[in-house]
Amino acid sequence: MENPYEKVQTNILSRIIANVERLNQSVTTMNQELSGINGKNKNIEIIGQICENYNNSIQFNLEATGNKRPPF
Amino acid sequence: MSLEEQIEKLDQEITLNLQKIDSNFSYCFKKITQNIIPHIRNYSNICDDIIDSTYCLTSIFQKTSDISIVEKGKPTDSIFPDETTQDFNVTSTGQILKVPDSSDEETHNNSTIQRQSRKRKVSLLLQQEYGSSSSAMPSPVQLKVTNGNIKTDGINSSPLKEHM
Repeated sequence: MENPYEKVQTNILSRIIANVERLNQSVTTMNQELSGINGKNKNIEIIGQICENYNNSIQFNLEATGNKRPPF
Repeated sequence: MSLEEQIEKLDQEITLNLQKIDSNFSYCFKKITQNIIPHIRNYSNICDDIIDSTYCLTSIFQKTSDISIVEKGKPTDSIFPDETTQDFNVTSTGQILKVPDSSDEETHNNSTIQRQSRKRKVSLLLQQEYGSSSSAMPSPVQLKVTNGNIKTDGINSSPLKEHM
């Protein structure tokens, strides 16, 4: 006696496999995008830190030389 | 009879669960492709815009301190006259900013090393100019570079101040 559920289950399993493959591809794409974003964020962070250090240095220099003036 | 019924029930449950798994995977795929990836692309474009906007600042800082802030795929032309033979790894005083190393982890930390070296260089200049450091805790490297003849290295005292 053949199990009537076997064919249905096999079909569903093959659909699951196809879905997992698609999902895997999309997750890979997302990972690539995220790694690119990571690099960009690192660059932006570096620029921000440099600007902050520059600001601190300027403030320190102006205070040390007595040239600091209040804002207009 | 009861055994066959049980098997029938189990088969039905298995089919139901498999359908649930399938629909969950399908939902995941749809969510990622339709909702998440467009937002990620949008954010990536915004990051590109930010990097483009700060490119003038970046090039200014790069040229003034002779370092290379890693930006792949960026054009090399800038507001400054072209100096293609310039070596970004060596400063004008001959100090090597980036130690060449073939390991992969080191290449990721190069920008950090350059930044720290630049910070050290700037605070070194400030120390020479004003006799005090902008950083509260001078690093050992800084002490070594600036003061070859200083014996005491208190963590909070500026060595140049003691010398003066």
